[in-house]
Parts: sequence; structure tokens; C-alpha cells
Amino acid sequence: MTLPSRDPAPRRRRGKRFTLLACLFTSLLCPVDAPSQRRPPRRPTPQQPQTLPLDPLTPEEKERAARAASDDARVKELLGGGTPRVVYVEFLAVKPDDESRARERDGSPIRIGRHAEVVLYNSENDRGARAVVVLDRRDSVRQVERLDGDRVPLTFADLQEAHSIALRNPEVRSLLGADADRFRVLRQEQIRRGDESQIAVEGLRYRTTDPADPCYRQRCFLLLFRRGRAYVNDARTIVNLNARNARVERRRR
Amino acid sequence: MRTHRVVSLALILAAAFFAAAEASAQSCSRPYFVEQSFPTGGPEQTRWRICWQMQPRHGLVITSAHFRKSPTSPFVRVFWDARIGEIYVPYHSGFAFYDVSDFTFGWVALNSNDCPAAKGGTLLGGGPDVCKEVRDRGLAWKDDTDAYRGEEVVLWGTIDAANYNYIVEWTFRDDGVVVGRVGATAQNLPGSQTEAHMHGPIWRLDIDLDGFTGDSVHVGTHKENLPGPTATDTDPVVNVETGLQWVDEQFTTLHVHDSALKNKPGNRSMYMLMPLRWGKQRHSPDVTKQDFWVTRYRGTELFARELPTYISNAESVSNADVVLWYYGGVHHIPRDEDFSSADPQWPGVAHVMWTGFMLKPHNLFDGTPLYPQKRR
Repeated sequence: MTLPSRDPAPRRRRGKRFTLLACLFTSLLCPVDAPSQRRPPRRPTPQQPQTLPLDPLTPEEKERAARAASDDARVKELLGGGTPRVVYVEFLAVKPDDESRARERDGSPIRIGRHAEVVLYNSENDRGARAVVVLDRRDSVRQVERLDGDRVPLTFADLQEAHSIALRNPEVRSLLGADADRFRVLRQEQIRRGDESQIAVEGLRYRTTDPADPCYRQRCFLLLFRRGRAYVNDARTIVNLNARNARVERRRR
Repeated sequence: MRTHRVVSLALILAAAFFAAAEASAQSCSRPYFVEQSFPTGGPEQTRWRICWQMQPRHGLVITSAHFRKSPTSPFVRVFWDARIGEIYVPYHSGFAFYDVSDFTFGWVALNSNDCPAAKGGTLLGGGPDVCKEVRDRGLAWKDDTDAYRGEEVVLWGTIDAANYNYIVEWTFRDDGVVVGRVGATAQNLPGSQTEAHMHGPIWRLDIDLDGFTGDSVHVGTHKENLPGPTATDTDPVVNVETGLQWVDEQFTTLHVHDSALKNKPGNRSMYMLMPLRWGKQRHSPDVTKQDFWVTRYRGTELFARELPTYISNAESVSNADVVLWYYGGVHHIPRDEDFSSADPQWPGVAHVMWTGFMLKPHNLFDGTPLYPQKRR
């Protein structure tokens, strides 16, 4: 083994040679569009610890986005007052104006910021709004558009409401029998269809293709009652959230 | 001797730098980041880098996908975003569901039965949400006594649409091909269990070859010059936002070109959108009247149901940032095999029916991929 020289000058020269060689190998092998090691990885900002640009929104980001959209004057105006609720908050990858920010290079991920799509709904006037929120220090709303109530998706809360409307209908109670009050609307993580003891109600947004039927445009649910895996299959229960009524249609063959 | 040691050290350092740079450049964290090189045994030839998310309603969304055709080539972005933009489900008696845009459906947590490690499966996400499978895909090519078995990495997750499950599957092959499929399964609609119906997924494919802009879409059209024996292939450009028909006898495909991306021989690289279908479903909503749509990129235009509105201003899609949409379909005629006659507490299930498309690279490679180099 050769001991390092005590003369600092040759050591510097060797150091330079070594750096030169490393750089040469790197530049020869490095693909054009692949990241190089010239710059260190971008550090996460204090607001978004360890969250990369294309990661799903964190619960904290969702809260901030919902708050920013709910507080925005343009959103409020579109929703026409009342007490609108947040229907969903979802991740959105918005392309930057400067395309170079969307390239993974120089050891850095893309630089597009964090954005959320927020949809709100006011059931009092059947109005919805969609907002794009920029999640940064100011959490500002970048874009707003109006949504007809018809275009606002139904939610878990709507399903709960539809279920309570249905249970006030004697025909529905008769369909469900003695355990009518045991049916529950379950959150996704609670659903276990293989559990024979689980008694649950599920729902689908119901639309007819007949313009004369209120469910052609209004917010209607087809409720599905099940015990374990077995759905109640004798009839269909349809709830109109706008008219707040329920009807039972006997099974068609 | 000393020089040899320095060179070796430099090589080791360079390799370490590469590993660090690649790891740090990803734009999503694990488990949302999937990187797969091919072949899985032997020296690397091709590589995919993918980011994914599960989103309510859309299910498994690909939030970026890059492909590298050789270890010395640059990564080429294929997707900025790829997702299901709608699943339209009309029943023959006249009612219908929009299973993506009408309800905030979640997704089914997976388990090791869904995604067995023994079959190349890895569960991803906290649910777990997604199954990653690395698997043999059969013959990639055969030439007399020579043959090559291809491989692929498949990601799939399941939308829980009440009685129905939709399996949203994305396959990234070793030869740069992407296959998108949706499989409809689980239980037929209670109260209408024996009623025939259709499941029509519409994919939104934001394909960005070599950057956002500079992409153009051409319509691949085959014509037999009957009654003569010759045939002609053309691919006219799509100039403005529009909907397009799939014509079976024309083998209609959409071709996405980038104005600058070429392979080594100097040919324009593109991806071809090729339907995998056995029918053409048409219903009353306008969105079901076309098989393909081409729109200019708008970040919030995510829902296929609004396509007639999205194209109403007929923006230019030539040499632009474009998004392709493809409408597939499954025709489900319930059968006794969908039910159990033995036990009313175990009502039976509809087996998976698939529909989808293939995105195939064309002039992306410089020659036959996955072919022995010594033969060149």
C-alpha cells in the first residue's frame, strides 16, 4: 500500500486529477435527460416536510385547501351564501408555465408546487363550485368555476341523508323487515362484505334517461341494502334528495 | 497501479453518484414511486419510472411515467397523467350510472390473496391500495429457433362502486408498450340482477413526449382499395379539438408525435393508441357518440362527461399540449355463472370482463428492442 505523500502540492494535483476523472466518468455515463449530481437534492420546505411534488395531499394540506376555498370571496359568491359544505379535496398536478420546472433533472424533482382541487356544494340553492388552490405560504385560490348541482358528486353525507329519508317510508321498512333499523351507512374502511353479520346500506347515484322522471336531473340515490354479501334483491329503493322522498320499485325480470 | 486504483475509485464514486441522483430526482415518495428495469435477470436494457396515486372516483391514477429505451438513453416522459375520466353504465331498461363523476367512491383495500408474493406481487400503500406485479408476458418475439419472453410491471387497484368493483390496471411492458384496462366484476345490480347492461370507461391520457408542447395527433387510417388488391395507410393530422370515430375496417388508431423527438435513424418517434375492443357502444349522452377525443390540455378538465363542452371552443391541438381520451366498453349479459344457486347467503359474482387499449411506441427505439446485440 502506498502512503499518501506529505507534500501538499502533489496531493492537490492528485485531488484535481481524481475530481477530473470522476467528472469525466460521470459526464460520459450520465444520460442527457437523467439527473446529474451537480446540485444537491432539493430540500423539503419547512411547510411540507418530506412531501414530494407528486405525493398525495396530506391531511393537513387537505384542511388548508378546504379552508382557503371556503374563505374565498369568489367561491362564496358562486355558492350564493348559505352553509355550503366541502364535497371533496383532491390532489392536482398543475403544469407550470415554465416547462423546465417539470423536468426531473439536476438531481431535483419537478418544481410545480402543490395544488388541490376543491369542490363545494350548497344544498339550499343546489349550486356547486370548483376551486383550484395553490398550497404555499398564502394558500390562495387560483381558479374558480361554477358547477351545476347536477354535476356535484354525491357523498357519504348524502348517502346518510338518503338512508334516513328512506327509513321514514313504510314501504322501505316493510321491505327490510324486522331489522330495518340495524342497517348502517359504513365508511370505506368499515366495509367488509365477507362478514355475514355486517348489515349495511350502500348507494349509487341514480339517473333515468326519461326527462319526465325527476331523477333525470335531480339528486337521486338508488339504495342497496345488504346483509353480509347478500343484497336485498326483491325491490329497488330510490331516494330523491331534492324532493326528500323515497319510492320502492318491485323487482323486474 | 496507483492510476488503476484512482480509476476504480472514480468509477465506484460515479456509480454511487448515479444511484443517489436517480433516487433523489424522483418526484414522488415511496410507495408512490415504482421503478422497474428489464430484463429482471441479466443486464438492464429498458426501465420505467412511475408515480401513482389512488384517488376517490378515479381509482388508480398514474401521475407520471418515464421510459428509458437503453441504459445510455435519456428518459422520455410518456404520461404527465393517465386516469379513468368516467365509467358510464347504462342498463337496457333505460337508467344509467356515471360511476366516476357522480359519487365519491373510495377504493377496496387489497390483501395477500389479491396480490400473492409467490406470483410476483407486492402490495403498495397504506390500505394496502395497489398491487404491483412483475411478470412474464409470454413471447415477445420468435424467429425459428430463437425466441424472447417479454416481461412487464403491472399496477392495479380497485374502485368500490357499491355492488360493483372496477379493477383499474396499468401495464408497463419491457418494450415500452403501455396497456390500460378496466375490469368490471363483483355482484350484479340488486333489483336488476338479470338485466343486461354495459360498462363504458373513458380514459384520459395526458401524453407528453419530450415535454408538454409540440405534440400533434394524427388519425391512423387503413383503406383497402377494393375491388382492387392494394391498400393505403394515411394519418391525417387533427387540427382542432374534436371527437373521432373508431372505424373497424379502417383499423383506426391515434398517433401522438412530438415535433422534436426522433430516434437515431432520424425517424419521428410517436406513440400509437390502439383500441382493444369487440364493439362500439352508443347511448343517449353525447359523450358516448365518439370513441376518441382530442383536447388541448387544461388542468381541471378531468371528467369525460364534459367532453362535448371541452371541445366546444375548438382550440388548436396541432403542435400543442394535447390530451387523448378513449372510450371502451363491456357488454354484460348476465348468466347463471354470475350467481350461486346453492346458497342464498353466497349470491355469486360476475367474473371480470375487461376492456382497454394499448399504447405502442413507434420509431422510439433505434432498432428491434430486446434483441441480441451480437446479431446487429
